[in-house]
Amino acid sequence: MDAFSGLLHGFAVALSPINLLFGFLGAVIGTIIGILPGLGPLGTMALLLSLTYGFEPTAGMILFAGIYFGAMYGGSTTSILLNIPGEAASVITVLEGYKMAKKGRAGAALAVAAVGSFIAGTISILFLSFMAPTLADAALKFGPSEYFTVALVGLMIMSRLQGGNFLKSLMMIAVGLTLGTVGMETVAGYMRFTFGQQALAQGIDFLPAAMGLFGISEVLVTAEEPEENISLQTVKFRDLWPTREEWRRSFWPMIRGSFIGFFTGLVPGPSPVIATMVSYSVERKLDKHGEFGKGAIEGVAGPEAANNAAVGGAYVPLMALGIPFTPAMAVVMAVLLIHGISPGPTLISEHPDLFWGVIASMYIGNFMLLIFNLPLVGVFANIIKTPLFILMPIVLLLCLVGVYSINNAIVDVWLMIGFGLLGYIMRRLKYDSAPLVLALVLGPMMERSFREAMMISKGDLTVFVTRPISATLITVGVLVMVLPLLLAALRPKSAGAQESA
Amino acid sequence: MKAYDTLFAGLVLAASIVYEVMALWMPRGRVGQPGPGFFPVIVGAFLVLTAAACLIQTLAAGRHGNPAGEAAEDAVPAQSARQTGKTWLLLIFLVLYVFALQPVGFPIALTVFLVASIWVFGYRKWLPVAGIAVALTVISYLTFVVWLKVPLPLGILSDILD
Repeated sequence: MDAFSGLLHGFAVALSPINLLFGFLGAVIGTIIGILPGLGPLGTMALLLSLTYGFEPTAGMILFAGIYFGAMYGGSTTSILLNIPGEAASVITVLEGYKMAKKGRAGAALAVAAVGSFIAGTISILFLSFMAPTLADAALKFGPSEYFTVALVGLMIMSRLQGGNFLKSLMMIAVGLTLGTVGMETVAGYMRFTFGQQALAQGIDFLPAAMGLFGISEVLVTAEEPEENISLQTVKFRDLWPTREEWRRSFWPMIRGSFIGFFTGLVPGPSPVIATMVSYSVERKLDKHGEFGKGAIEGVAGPEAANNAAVGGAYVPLMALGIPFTPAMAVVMAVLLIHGISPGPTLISEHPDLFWGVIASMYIGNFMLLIFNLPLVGVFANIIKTPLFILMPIVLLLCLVGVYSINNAIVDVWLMIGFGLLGYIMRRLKYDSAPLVLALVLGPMMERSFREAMMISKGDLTVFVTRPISATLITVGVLVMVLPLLLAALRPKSAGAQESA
Repeated sequence: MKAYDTLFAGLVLAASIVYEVMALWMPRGRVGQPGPGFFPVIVGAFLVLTAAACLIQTLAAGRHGNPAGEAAEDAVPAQSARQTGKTWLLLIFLVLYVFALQPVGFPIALTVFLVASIWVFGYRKWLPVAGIAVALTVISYLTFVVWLKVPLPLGILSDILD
């Protein structure tokens, strides 16, 4: 099935009542959690996973795509109106967006953010439609050594790009990999690190970990913070139309942001956040009006386009290779696994309904989101006034009931609470949870690929550096790890030379 | 916060050493035929190294006259005891909920848990609190048990609700 006929088929799937309903729900929930600071798309998807059990996997995938895209749209609203970023990917929007609001241009900033998100979302979905099938065809040639190196290099890049302390990120990856070895080993049925507990034989599922680290810990941290009284700036519908000059200045930043976002999305790590930073710095460098820092519309248009485009990019490795490069994509993968579908290069050819249905629903979802985030922006913005005593118990409820429904096992509830406490400590000490969760997901796959690669090559470790794809990936990974160290080593010398000069 | 940072890295290091020793006891096989212990030995060694490096980093940051250090300079400021108390209360309620889940059943355990957590978040009007908690429990019962057929333990209400 070529991309065009695939898309037509996909629209037929996406326009079924249940898929439309899930697309709508995803867009609404995504916009809401985008507006609310704290709980992000990953935590929300993990909490709502159990609600997708009773439906076709396509419906679940559509729901989650709506949530992920919606969070990127919604995040800009409070950044612009309140100086409070709803999402990490909207932190950059605060810099120029809130200043625009203070100048009385909040409506224009909101409109540019929404339209930029729409354009970028559309461009990235278009890229995803064409790139994922091509990459999947290429990935059919992948052997275990390639899969091992993709996962390894993915983790290496993530440790560098995650931000914060590099050593702490590495340690969290190691913790995730070790937790991934708990349970019955698949080849010989050997019990590892279960301490005689039959409940641990199936291993540590990443979902209780994700729900604990991103859901429970969020509530625990929020409990310590005083609740703020929020006064919301109102924006009238007629104020939402930017001037001709504002449109003209926003167009190219939106296009550049779309490209930057999509290709950043292909990289492991918090790609929507990185995409906004890259886009902002590019726009700042290209600035001709000297308005950056004072409410430049380019600083809203570019990053808001970039974070949406990154979402489309993040779907490519999962759809084409079956490897999630972000914890959020791991939860999306869980929707497939729960229904017995193994994501991988054959996903698109074996389940065209699912792949093209999800792609088509992304187009439809983007239209819905444009409507939610323009005429209805005032309605959604009021959601930020929801009191914590309502919101947080609902998050806890979804965690407690949702985690039990994964395997109907009480051990998952205990694990989630344990991870919640760990997540709380990690947040206080500035350890990032995302590398841990991703390593926990990728660890068992890495071990399986490593063992298969070693058996096929009869113990020849050079297989990881002699096969072209593995060698290229390893080179990229090593460069990403070593280059910052080299640059850091060179920097003091040049600084010193400048001083002496 | 630096003391906690050091303590955390130290605890992870200690756990990683125990993990590595346990992994070394497992059959490792050989490179061409890796056994169940092969991969754990590698990732265990990686954890020992990174945890030791984190510990050294935290200790070194303190020794160089920077009490906060790089590792802790951006750490979140300590909260007041009253605020931290809320976190521990919530954790206790979570643990009590799981203990009560099987014998008492999820509808009662969840209602009581929700009342307690709404109270922790500062809303103290008992009638609305009870109303919100009961409403949320009914919605989750209808969604998860009736609609999605999740076999949540019903405990002492199983005769009535089954």
